[in-house]
Amino acid sequence: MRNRVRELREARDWSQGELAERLAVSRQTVNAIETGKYDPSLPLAFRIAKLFRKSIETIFDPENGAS
Amino acid sequence: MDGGSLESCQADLTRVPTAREVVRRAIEEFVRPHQQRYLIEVLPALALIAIWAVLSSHVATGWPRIAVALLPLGAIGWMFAAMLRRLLGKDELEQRIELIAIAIASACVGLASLGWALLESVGAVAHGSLFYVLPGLIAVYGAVKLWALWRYR
Repeated sequence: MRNRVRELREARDWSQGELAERLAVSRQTVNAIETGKYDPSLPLAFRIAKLFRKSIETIFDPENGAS
Repeated sequence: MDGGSLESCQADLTRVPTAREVVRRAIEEFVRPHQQRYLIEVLPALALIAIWAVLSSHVATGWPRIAVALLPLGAIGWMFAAMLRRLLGKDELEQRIELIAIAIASACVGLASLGWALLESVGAVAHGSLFYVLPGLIAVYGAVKLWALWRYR
């Protein structure tokens, strides 16, 4: 599943570590989500959406799988 | 997603982390609170096992021998409890990696021990020892976890 997490994080000038801290997950998890290797659970997707003040569907696109 | 972000994501998928990045990430993991608590909890158990290793060779007869032989059980039980607390402190991806590692380790050791037992039943191999089950589990778990960490790096 493609997502805009990296784009939104970089727009705020946050490192992966900073985003991980804000989401209470590991940096590895943030990296795996950004690179499309791992799709977050619904609660984590909601936390990401709330943090970036966006709806889930504007961040995650289930129509396009990661390469 | 714009073209630039897409390109940066694709570039990241194929990029191999440098040795410095691997070390930095390992340190980041090491200093996380649940990891620190785990180390503090496990160190006394390891010390007890070290004392047992020294004592076990000096106590040869009577009930003290049985007591000393069973001494590591308490320490290892404490270590398992610490591992469980550490597992519950991890995030969802880390718990998924742990689940994969534990499942594969259990399957491998289960199959190996069943295979050995079947061979033993027809006299093809010598009587096996249960002593190797736990180290076998730990070894396969470690190998699978390394693979999973690389897979989700």
